[in-house]
Amino acid sequence: MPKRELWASRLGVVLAMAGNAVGLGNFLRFPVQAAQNGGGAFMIPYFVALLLLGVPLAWCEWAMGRLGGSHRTGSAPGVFHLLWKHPAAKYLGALGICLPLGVLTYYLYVESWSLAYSFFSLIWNMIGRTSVEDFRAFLGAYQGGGHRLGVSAIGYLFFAITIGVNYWVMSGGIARGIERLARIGMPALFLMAIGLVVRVLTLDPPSGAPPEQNVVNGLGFIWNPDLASLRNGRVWLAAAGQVFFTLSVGFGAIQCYASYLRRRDDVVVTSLSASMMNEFVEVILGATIAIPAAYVFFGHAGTVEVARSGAFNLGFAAMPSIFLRMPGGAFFGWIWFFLLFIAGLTSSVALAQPAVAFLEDELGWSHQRAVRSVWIFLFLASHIPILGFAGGALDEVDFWAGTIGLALFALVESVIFLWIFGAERAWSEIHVGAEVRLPRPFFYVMKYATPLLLAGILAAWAWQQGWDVVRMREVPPEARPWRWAARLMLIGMIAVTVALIRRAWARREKST
Amino acid sequence: MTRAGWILMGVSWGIILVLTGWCLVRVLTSRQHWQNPKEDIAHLEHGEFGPPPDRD
Repeated sequence: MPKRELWASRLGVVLAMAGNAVGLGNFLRFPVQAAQNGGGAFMIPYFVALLLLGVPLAWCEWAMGRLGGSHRTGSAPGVFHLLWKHPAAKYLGALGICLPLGVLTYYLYVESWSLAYSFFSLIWNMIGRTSVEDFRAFLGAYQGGGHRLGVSAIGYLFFAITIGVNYWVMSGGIARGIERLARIGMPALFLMAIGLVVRVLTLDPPSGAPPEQNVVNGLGFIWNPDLASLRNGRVWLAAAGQVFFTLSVGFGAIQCYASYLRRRDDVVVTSLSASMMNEFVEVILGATIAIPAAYVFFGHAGTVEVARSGAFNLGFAAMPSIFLRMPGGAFFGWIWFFLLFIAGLTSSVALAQPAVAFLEDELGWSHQRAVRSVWIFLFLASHIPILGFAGGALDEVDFWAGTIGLALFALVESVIFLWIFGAERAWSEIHVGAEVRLPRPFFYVMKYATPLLLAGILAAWAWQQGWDVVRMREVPPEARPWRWAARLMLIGMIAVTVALIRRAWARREKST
Repeated sequence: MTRAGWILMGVSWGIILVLTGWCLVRVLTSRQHWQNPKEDIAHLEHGEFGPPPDRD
C-alpha cells in the first residue's frame, strides 16, 4: 500500500489552510458587504457569526479530517462512514466532493480574469480606456458580451492557462505542490497587499477634488456605523454568509487538507491560526484597499454607486480606472490583479483536493491519474458557466453550490460529528494533541448554537423564498435554459459521485 | 470618519491583531513532533477505531 502524504511543516499547514480561506472574496466581497450592511455596525454580527459559526465549524472540520487521515481517508464519504456506521453516511459525503467541484466550475473562470487583468494592467495606456464606464464595457466584452459563442478568445485563452497552472501545482502533490505554493504564494500575497495598503493610505485627493474626499473619510465609508441596521435580519444573514464564505467552511476542503496531518498534530491553535490569518487579510488589508481608494478618486456618491454595482465591478472596472489615475498605477494595478490571482489559485487547488483525495484513497488511483482526471473534468464542466455566463449559469451554480450547498453540508457534518458521533467524543477528538484546551462554553456553542443557527438559516430561506427560487419565478423565460443546464450539471455530478462511492465501497468489501 | 467609526475599526483591528499574533507565536515556537518530519509516527494511536484497514 503506498504511503499517504503528510504536510512537511506546521507553518506550511497554516499557510496552505489560510490560502484555502483567503480568496477573491477577502478583497472584493467583504468591503462591499460591509459598506452595504451598516458599515462598522456590520462587524458586530460578523464577529458573532465568527465566534458561533465560523471558528467552531473550522475546529470540527479540522478534527474530522485528521481522524479520517489516520484511517487513510481524506474525503467526506470516508470520514462520514468512519463517524457514522450507517449505509447512508458515505452518500451524504458526496456533497463534500461535488460542492467544491461545482464552485470550481465558475471560480476558475473568475480566477482567470485576475491573471488576464494583471497583464492588461501593464498595457492599459495602450488600450486607451480611462473611465469606470470604459472599463465596464471592456469587462463585458472580455466576458464574452457580443461574441457569438458567449466567450472571448482572450478570455478563453487565460482560462486555459489558469487550468494549466492549477494542474501543474496539484500534480506536485501535498508537500511539493500545494504546500510549496502556499509557502511562496502567501507571504508574497501579504507583501503585495501591505504594499497596496501603504499606497492607498498615502493617496492624495486628485487636483480639484474637495478636501473631504480623502482616504480617512474613505475608511469612514466602511467603518462609520449605522447602528439601526442591526435591527435588520438581512444584515445578520449577510454577516453569517460572509463568515462562511471567507473561512471556506462547509466546502469539505478543510476536512481534506486536515487529513494530511499526523494523528497527534494540534488542531486547536493551528486551525485558529489559519482562521485569524484569513481575518487579518480580510478585515485589515481587504477593507483598506478598494473602497478607500475608490472614495479618494470618486467621492462619496461615486463610491456608493461602485459599492452598489457589486464586487466584480469594484475589482475589474473601478480599480483599473483608479490605478490609471495614480502615480505608478501600472505597477500597483499589476500587483492588485496578481494578488487576486494568487488568492484565487491557493483556494482553487484546495477546492479540487477533496475529489483527488477521494479517487486516491477510495478507488486506489495513482496521484497523477487522479489529478489528471479531476482537471480534465473541471475543464469540460466549466464550459457551462463560461458559455452560459450571460444566461445566468454562473449565478445559478454559485447559488446552489456556493451558498445553499455550503450551509447544507455544514449542517450535515455538524449533526454527524456532534450529535451522531457524539459531542463528548467530538470534544475529545478535537483535543487530541491539543496545545491548549478550549474553554468549555465552546462545547455548548458547537453542540447547540452552530447546528441550530445553520438549520435556522436554511429553514428561513426555504420558508421565505425556497419554492420561488426552485421554480425560477423571477427569472425571465429566455434566461432559464442556461440555468437549467447549470442545475443538470450539478445533479449529474452528484449522480456520478454517488456511483463512484458505491463502486469504492464494493471494492472495500471485496478487499476485507 | 466619526468617533464611533474609529472605535469600531480600532476594536476590530485590535482583536484580530492580538489573536493573529498570539497564534503565530505559538505556531512558530511550538516544539510538537511535527516540527520533526522524519520522526517515526507508526507508534501513535489511531483513536478508538483501531489501526487503518489495509485496502489492497
